[in-house]
Amino acid sequence: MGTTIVQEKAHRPRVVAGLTPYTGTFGKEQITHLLKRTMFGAKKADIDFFMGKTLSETINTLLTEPPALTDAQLPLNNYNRRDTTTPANQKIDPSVPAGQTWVYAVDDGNFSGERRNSLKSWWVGQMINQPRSVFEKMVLFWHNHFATEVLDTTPSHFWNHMELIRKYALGNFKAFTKDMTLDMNMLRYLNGYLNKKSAPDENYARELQELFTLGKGPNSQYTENDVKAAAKVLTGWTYPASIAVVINGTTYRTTQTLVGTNPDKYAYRRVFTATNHDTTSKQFSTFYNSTIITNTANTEAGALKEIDDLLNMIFAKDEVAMYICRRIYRFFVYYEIDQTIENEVITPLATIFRQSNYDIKPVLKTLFSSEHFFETGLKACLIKSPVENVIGFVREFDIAIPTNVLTPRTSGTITYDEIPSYNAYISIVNNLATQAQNIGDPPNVSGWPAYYQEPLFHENWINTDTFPKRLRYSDQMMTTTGVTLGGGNRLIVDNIKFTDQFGADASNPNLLIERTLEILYRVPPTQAMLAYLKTNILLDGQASDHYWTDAWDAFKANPILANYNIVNTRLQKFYTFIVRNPEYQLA
Amino acid sequence: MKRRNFIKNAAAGVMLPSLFGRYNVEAVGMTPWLSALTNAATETDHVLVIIRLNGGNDALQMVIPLDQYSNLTTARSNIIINENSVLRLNGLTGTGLHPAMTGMQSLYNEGKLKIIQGVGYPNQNFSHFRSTDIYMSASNATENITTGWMGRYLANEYANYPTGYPNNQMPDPLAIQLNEMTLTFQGPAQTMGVTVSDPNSPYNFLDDNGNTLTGRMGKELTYLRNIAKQADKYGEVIQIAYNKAANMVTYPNTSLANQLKIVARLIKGGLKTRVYMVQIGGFDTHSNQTDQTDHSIGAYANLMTQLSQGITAFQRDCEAMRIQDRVLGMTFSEFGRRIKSNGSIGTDHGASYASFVFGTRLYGGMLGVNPTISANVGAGDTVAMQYDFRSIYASILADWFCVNPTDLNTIMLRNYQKLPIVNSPSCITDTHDLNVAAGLRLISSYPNPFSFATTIEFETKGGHTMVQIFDVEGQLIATPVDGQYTEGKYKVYFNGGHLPAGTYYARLQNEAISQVRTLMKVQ
Repeated sequence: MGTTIVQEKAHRPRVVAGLTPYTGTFGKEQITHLLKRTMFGAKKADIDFFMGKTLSETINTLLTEPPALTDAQLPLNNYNRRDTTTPANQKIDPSVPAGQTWVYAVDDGNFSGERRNSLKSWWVGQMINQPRSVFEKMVLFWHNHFATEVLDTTPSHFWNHMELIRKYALGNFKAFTKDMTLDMNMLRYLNGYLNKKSAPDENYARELQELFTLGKGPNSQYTENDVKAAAKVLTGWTYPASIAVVINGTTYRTTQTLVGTNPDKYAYRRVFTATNHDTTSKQFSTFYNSTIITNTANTEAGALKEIDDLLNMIFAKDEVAMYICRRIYRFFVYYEIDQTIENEVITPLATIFRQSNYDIKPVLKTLFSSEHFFETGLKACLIKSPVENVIGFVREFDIAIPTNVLTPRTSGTITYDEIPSYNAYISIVNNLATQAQNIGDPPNVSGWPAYYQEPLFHENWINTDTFPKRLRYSDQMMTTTGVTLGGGNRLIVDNIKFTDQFGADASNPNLLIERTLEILYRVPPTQAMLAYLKTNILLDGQASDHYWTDAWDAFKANPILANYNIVNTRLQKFYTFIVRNPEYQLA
Repeated sequence: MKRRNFIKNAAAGVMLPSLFGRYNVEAVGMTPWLSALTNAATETDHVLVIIRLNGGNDALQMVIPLDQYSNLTTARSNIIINENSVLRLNGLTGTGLHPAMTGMQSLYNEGKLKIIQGVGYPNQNFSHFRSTDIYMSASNATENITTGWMGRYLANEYANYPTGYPNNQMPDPLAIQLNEMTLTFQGPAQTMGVTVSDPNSPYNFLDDNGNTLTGRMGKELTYLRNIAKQADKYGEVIQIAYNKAANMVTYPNTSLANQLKIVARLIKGGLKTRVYMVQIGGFDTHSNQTDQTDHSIGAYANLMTQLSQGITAFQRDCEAMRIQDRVLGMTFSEFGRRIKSNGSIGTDHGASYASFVFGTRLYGGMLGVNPTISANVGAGDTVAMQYDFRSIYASILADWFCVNPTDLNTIMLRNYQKLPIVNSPSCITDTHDLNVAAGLRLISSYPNPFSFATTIEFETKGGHTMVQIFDVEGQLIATPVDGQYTEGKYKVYFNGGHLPAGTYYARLQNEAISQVRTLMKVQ
C-alpha cells in the first residue's frame, strides 16, 4: 500500500518506560492510582491501609484470592411474595426457603426473572464489599472476555459459569479455557450442545479462536477450515438426559445433575455422547503447522484428549499471549497500543505469560509493578466504565448499604420476603444497565464495545445519553432524599461521615479540599475550581477561611440540627460540584 | 449559545431565503408552510418515524391472507383468527387485518397505510440479536457491519458532525431515539443520534471549567467535556421544542403511544431532526399468543391494539397539527415467524413478514402478493421473501430524503431495487449542500469515488494527528498519517487500488477532535 506524506512527519512523544520494575516514590498518589485501576474506586480506608507498605507488599495483597464463599454468601432467595388473603398474588419458590441460596436448586424456569435479579444484585454486593484485591475486577474482565448472557441461558446455568470465572479469575488461563469449553452455560450460549457429527455447529469453534484465544489481529491467521475442523473436535458434548425431582409432591424435570446431598444440590454438567462425536481425523491449516487431531477412542477420555490436543495447538501460537496481554493492558492501563508499547510492554508481558504456562498472576504482577504503569502520561486517562463509576462512587463515599438479613416487609395484603441490601444492589444493577453496562448481559459474545471497538474504545461509554444518566444517579445519591429503596431504606451520601474521616483537616477549608480531591480526582484541578470550591461553596462568598472552620468546629462541638444544617448544605454542594465535573469520570 | 439565539439568527440569516427558494408553487400553497412562516418554530424538511417491533412479528396474524385461509387454518389451527372477524380492506378481496386494528383499517382505506408483503433478506438468520443487527445495519446475512443504515445516511448528509455542531444550519439533534440507543443510528465514528427519555428534564451540566490538560488525560477530558456540551445544548433545544407544541388528539396510555406522543410534539415544536425511532416489545410470541378459545384476543391482540391505536393516534395528531405531509412512518421487526404454529399456542422464529409504511405522502395499497401457504406446511416453513428490506430503506432515502444515486449506493453499500412507496410532490435537495458544509470540514478527499488512488486533505490544529482508513466492517485498513503535526493543512496520497470496491471511511483524529469522511471505491 503506497502512502506518501507530503510534509515531513514529526514524531509523537511516546510513553517510553517499559516493564522495568518501578522504584520511584510509592506514596499516597501512587497507591491511589494503583487502587483506582485494580479495584472499584479508592476508599480512604484502603489508601490508609497500604500507606507505608512497599509496592511489592501492596501488589502481593492485591493479587490475593478471597476465601471460598459460604452458602450464606451465595445469591439468596429474596423474592418470595406471600399473600394469604389473595393466594393468586403469591409467588413462593417451592425449592428454596426465603433467605437461602437458590443456586443449587432445581432450575424449573418459574423463577428465572427473580433469580436473575438476585444473581446480579449479589454480584454488585460482591463488588461493593470487595476485599483489597484485584479479584473482583478480574471477574468482570473474564465475564467480558468469555461473554455470555444470562438472559439467553438461565440464572442456574450462569451461576455454574460464574463459579468457573471465580475459580480461575487469578488462575491459569489455559486450564480456564478448557473448563470454559465444557461449561454448560457456554455450551448453551454458543450452541455447542447442538454440535454433533451429523450437524456440526461452528459457533463456539469460531469464537474460541476469534474472541477467546487468538483474536482478530494480523497475526491470527487461522482459516475457515480451521473453524470447521475445531468444530468437529468439539462434537458430542451436551446436556444429560433429564431427571425427575419431586418437590412438595410436584414432579419437575431438569437436565441438571445431582452434585451434593442434604440438601440436594443440582448443577449443570455436560455429558459426552459418543454417537454424536465425529471420530474422523481433523486436519488443520499451515497456520497450525498442518496439525492433524485424531480420535484414539470414541469415549469421553478420547474426546477430552482431542480437546487437549486442540488447545495445545492453539496455545502453541504466540499470538494467544499477545492477544490476552493486549486485552489486559486495555482494561487496566489505556486503550492506545502503539508500536513502542507493543514492543516494550505487550511482547515481554506475553513472554512472561507463556513462560508461566499461562498463569495470569505473573502478568498482572509485572504490569502493576512496572515503570510503565506508573508513567505520568498514562495516569488519569482511563474513562471509568459504568461499573467503575457507580461502584467506585458508592465505595469512595462509603455509602451505607441496608442490612443483608432477611426482613419481611408487608404492604397491603402482600408480604415480601426481602433482603434489604438486595434492594440497594438491584437499584445499582438497573442503573448500570441504563448506563449501557448490564452486568450478566453484555450486548453479545464480543462483550462491551468499550473494551474492543476501535477507534473509540473507552470513549464508547460516554455519549449524550449515557453521560447525563451517570450524573443523574450520583446526583440523586447526593440529594437530601437519596435513592429511595422501599422499606424506608435509601442509598445516600453521608456528607458528614465522609468529611469527618479527614479528622482535624476537615476544619481547614484548604486542607479539606486537598484531602478530598486526593481521593476523588486523578487529574489536577484548576485554580478556578479550587477557588470556587472554597470561596463560593465552603465560605459562601466570604473571604476568610475561618468562616468554614468556625462552622465545622461548632458542629463538632455541638452537633445540633442548626449546626448540622449549616455544614451539611455546604458539603452537599461541595461534593456534588466535584462529582459533576468531568474530572471525576477519569481514573 | 441558547436556542432562542439560534432561532433568531437562523430566521434572519440562513433559513428564510433557502426556504423561499425551495418549495415549488404547489407546496407554498400548503397550510403547514404558511403557518410555519408565522411561527417561530419553522418547520422544514421531511421526517421519518421508525417503529421497531421488538421480538419478531408474527405478521401472518396481522395481515391475514384470506385467500389462503383454509391452508392457514390447517397450519395454525390453535391460533387462527376467525375468518369473519378479520377486518376487510377497500379494494383488497384476499387480504385483511387483525380484528384489533380498526384504526389502521381506516388509515388503509384512506390511502395512508401501505402494506408491503414478504419483507426479508436472503439466508435469514434466526437469532434475535444477529437479525436485529442485520436490519439495523442493512448488512447481508454474512456481513458484520458495525454502522447503522441511518447512521450512514446522517454521516453522509451531515458530513462534519459532530465537529462544530450544533450550528445554524442544524441546531437540533440529527436523530432522536426514544429510550435506548440502537445500532440504527451508529455512524462510522460515533452515534449520530441522541436518546430522549423525558424531554422535559434535560440534564444541566456544569459550565466548562476551563481545565486544559495535555496528553492522554487531556484528550479524554476534552472528549468528556464535548459530550457534556452537546448533551446540554441538545437537551435544551429538545425541551424548548417539546414545550412549544401540544398534542391535539388523545392518545391511549401505552408505551408506544407515549413515545409517539413525544415525537409528534417535537416535530411540531420545530426540531429539524430528521429521524425518530420508537419501540414496542413483546413480539417474541413463542407461547400463548392468543387466548385458548377466542383467537382474536390475548397477548398478540394486545400488541395489535397498541400498534394500531398508537399509529392511528399519531397520524391523526399530525393531521390536526398540520404536519402530516412532512411525516412518514415505517415499521420493522427482526424477522417474521413460522407459518405453522407450535404446541404452545405460539409461533417460533421465522423469516419474511408483512410490513407497514404510513403517512399522507405515499402510494397506498398493498405491494406484493399474499404469501402462498401450502396444504402441508412443515414445522420449519417460513414466509417467502418478496422484497428485500433494504429496498424499502433505499426507496425512502431516495424519494423521501432525496438522496442522490451515488450517495445512495454508498449508504446502502449496494444497489437495491426501488419500490413505489413515497409519493412526494417535490424532492427537496437544495439543503443537502448546506448540510454537508455545516460544521467544520477538517478532512476531505478527491477524487471520490476513486478507483485507484485518492488524495486525502486534512486540517490539523497541531499536536498528534492521525488519519485511519476503515472498511464498513470497522476493520482498520491503513493508517496513512500518525504523528506530531504543526497547525495547518496537509495532503496525503492514499493508494487503495488493491481494495475491493465498496464503502470505506477515512477518519481524522487530532487530539480530541475526530471527523469521518466516506470514501467510495469503484472498480
